[in-house]
Amino acid sequence: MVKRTLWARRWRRRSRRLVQSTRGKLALVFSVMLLIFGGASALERWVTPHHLWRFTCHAQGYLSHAQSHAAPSDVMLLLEIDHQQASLHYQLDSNAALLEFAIFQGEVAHVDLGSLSYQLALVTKALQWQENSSLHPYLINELSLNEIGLQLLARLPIQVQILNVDSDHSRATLKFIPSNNLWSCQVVSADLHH
Amino acid sequence: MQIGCCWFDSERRLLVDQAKSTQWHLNDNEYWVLAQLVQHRGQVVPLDMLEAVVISGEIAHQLSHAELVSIIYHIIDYLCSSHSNLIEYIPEQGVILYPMTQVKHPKILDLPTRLLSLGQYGVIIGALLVLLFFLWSHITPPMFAKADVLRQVITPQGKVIQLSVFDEQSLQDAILHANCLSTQLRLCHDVHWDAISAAMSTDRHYVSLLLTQSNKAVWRFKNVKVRVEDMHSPFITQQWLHKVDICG
Repeated sequence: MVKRTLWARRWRRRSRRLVQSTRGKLALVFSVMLLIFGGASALERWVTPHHLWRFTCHAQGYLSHAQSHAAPSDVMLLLEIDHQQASLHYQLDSNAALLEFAIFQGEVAHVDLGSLSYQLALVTKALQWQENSSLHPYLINELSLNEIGLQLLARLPIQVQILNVDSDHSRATLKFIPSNNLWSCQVVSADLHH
Repeated sequence: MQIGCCWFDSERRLLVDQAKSTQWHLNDNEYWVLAQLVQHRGQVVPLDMLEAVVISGEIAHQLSHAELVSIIYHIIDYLCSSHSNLIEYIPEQGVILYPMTQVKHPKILDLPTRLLSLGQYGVIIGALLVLLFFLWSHITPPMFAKADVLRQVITPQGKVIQLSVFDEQSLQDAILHANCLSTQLRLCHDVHWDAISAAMSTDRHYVSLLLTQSNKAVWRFKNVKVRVEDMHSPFITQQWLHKVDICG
């Protein structure tokens, strides 16, 4: 008991001397800086932001040619971001025999909260084209892929930015990067909180 | 009164060195000289004023020049080294007690008053550089969503249409299509929309049109996707505007 008290007293004296010395003060400043830096890094890495977005978008597609006399197609886009999961669903109905669609599912790789842009790491889950497909070249353009990029189980990095969120009218604009394609979409549900 | 690192206690005739915790009990002559300097701080006190010691309740007497100089240098020596230039003896003139130390700011690495060793200095600089590099590598440039061409088109009916064109590849193409669209809109009998945004794809094959009608109770929105063969040529005609239901 006496030994412990003496030992504790000795350590207290030594630590007081260390803290009061120049070297000790320097070490203290470094330690505090390291602690703050480490804490901030840990928070940034491990705190998972919760994002929930569901967009429904419809477009009239003149995807054969601007001056073509063909009737427009109905193009639909569904984008869902549910925490770390994301999915993209395209559908094109051109009154032809076969409906064209493409379904991509995967994860949210990175979120830039400042610009509200999401980097998605998706995998092609389902594809259906008709002959002389209109959706296929459109997706090559929108998702910035090469010709062989759009295949089943192919991994696709996709970046999409959410602009002009209008809560009153439940609308938002989606912008695909780097293709610069825009969609005005209905926001089915949105929840953004940490 | 504070003189550098010393405290002059006039009542008790003490000059206390706070750095070393020592006290100097001033005799009558020393007290008189210091009191005069303190009373006329910032001014040159003439030698003859300092030599004529007049303390209340005591007989006035004269100090010799040598005694006065000895007292002055004694006081200067007592002040700590960093404040020793607070009192200056000007030969044949007088003595001045400066209000503040004329400090020569020591450099961090200069001996003997070095604050840090070279190694410590290097470690701090190195750590700061690493931190700055780390922060810089995590900074991503801002992503602007600003239209390349933004204008208001006024139709013959007096309707104002907000026109925005986005083209990250070519400002000339953006202006070309904005001009074309503006011209054609002005020729329309009736434009159904209040805001039209057009975005040219980077592969130059598609145009996204976002149409908004906001002048009614229920807003209307419409997307139009158009495949374009030549982005450098205008494709927007009256016929086309009617076909996509922009004009009616």
